[in-house]
Amino acid sequence: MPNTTESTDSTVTQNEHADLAQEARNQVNHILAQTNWQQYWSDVSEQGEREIDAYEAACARSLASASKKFVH
Amino acid sequence: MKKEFKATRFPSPEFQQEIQKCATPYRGNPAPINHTLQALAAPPLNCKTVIFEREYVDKDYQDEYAAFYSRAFKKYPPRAVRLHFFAADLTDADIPKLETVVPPTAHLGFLVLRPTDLQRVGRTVLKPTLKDPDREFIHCLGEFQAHILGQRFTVQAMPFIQQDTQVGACAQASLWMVARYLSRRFGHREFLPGEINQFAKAKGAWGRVLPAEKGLYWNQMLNALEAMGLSAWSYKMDEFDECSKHIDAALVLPPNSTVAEQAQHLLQVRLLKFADIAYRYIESGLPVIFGTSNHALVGIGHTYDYAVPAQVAIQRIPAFLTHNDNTGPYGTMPISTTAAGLTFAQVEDLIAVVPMEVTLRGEAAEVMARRAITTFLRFPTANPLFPTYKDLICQLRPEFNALLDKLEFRTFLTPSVDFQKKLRADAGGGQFDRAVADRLIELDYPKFIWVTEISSPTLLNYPKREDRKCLGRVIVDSTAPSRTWGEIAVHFCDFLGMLDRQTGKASTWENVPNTTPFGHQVVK
Repeated sequence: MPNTTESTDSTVTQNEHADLAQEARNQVNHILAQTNWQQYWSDVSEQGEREIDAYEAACARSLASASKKFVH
Repeated sequence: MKKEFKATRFPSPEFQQEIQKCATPYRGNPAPINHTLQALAAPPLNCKTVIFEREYVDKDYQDEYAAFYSRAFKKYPPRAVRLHFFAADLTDADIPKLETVVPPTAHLGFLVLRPTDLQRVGRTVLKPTLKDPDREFIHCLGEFQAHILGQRFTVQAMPFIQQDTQVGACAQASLWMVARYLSRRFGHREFLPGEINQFAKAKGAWGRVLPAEKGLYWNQMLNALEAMGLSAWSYKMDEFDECSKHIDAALVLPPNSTVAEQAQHLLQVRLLKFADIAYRYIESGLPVIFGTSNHALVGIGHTYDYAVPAQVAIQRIPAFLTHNDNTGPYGTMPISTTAAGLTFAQVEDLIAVVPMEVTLRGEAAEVMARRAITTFLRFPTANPLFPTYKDLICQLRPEFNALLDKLEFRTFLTPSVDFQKKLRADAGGGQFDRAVADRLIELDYPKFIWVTEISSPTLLNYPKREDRKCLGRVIVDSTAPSRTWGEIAVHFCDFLGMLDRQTGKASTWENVPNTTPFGHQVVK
């Protein structure tokens, strides 16, 4: 019965896909578990420091000039 | 004594006659009232009827009256006239039963006319005059009410006022607009014109306080905001050349450029860097005061061009929308070095106003978010098949491969409760993954958070705003010192990472398949 055969084939394919997906998930989870996330956040913090310093210096200069500007 | 109301068709000779009675002599700059009436006559407002409310006790004018006009030799009336606008045909007979004959959407707002010599437009609360909700955004809208014979009408608007020149100049008018809007947005008390002028001049000996026609120094405006319990940050355009490297990277000067081309390039880069700073606050629903060489006005929204070839988010913003006491409410200010009229290129300074609880600036929050994403993309996986997380993302979601090299970042401040509410609504409506929403909702947040959405031109190039998507977002603590780990959560390209703000402990990130891209959030 072609329909039954087709249905069985489809189930097998779905199961294979599910297995592959589970395997891929396990692999991704393994990669995530092996990653040093503390190091990641340290890197994030260090890399932004110079740019934040530049903004803070520019804001300080902006404020220093505020007493000279007049609007009416 | 009975309260006096009169309905007139608009526009009509009868209306002109009535307004002549209460608005003349109108000395000084008539542009705000003229532009407002033109906007009311045109789509989308399509005003049909104006109801004149005489002998109106307006608290802002009463304050101006008490501070200055009551002491003058000339007798000024203590009461004002209020004009109510409706997009419906009404007669005097309808006034007692307006609630039953007027659909709620037909109330367009109101305008107070002060009985003064100069520049009579007082407190004005008018529906936005925008025509395209996919390309024009007024982010600073608060809910305001008006009553006619006990019948309440509500309108979402950004309040406007014209300087009267005696109790306030453009500086005080801008401060009033910002403060009145924020009183609605964050539940602060309302501040009156005379008070604002006093706050501005309370620190130091500045000469006499009134009349205030000479305006304010920029630091007096900062003092006034501080006295009102608001946190204000001042930015000067030509101080930020060494900042915002993402804009330098996007606007590279071609080799062998002429001196004139180099000068034009510098102007363009400077303009976009400055607009980029203002944009984050305006996008957050926080008005920004713009200062030209001699004038102050308020940025309250922006236009949007989804189709423009852009490498940074600010290139999609052709203009800011402003309340300018010289010209009227809901004007347009192009972000351009070449456009005619008043443009953002003429803005030299700006003041961003944020709630007192917020201590981290928008640009610092975005630096943190950018670094969180760029570091993640190149962070090693210790797996030779996918050496970095970018490689892993491209393996898991090959369709993201073309998007990751052109990322756009859009940062805004939002109350954390609004963020949680939106997550709940999106998850309930099937627009966002329920499990990730629950994980983000259950986190402990400060009152305000900075949210950076990460997108790509391909995901933004849609005419309808609901079709524009992003690849993820970074949530940053708005109270974090700028050099600490202020990030709370990263959800990007199907990965979810969180950082405990109390302990600094980084938990292992998770893969949450098919949870991105998701829709943009529009702050209102």
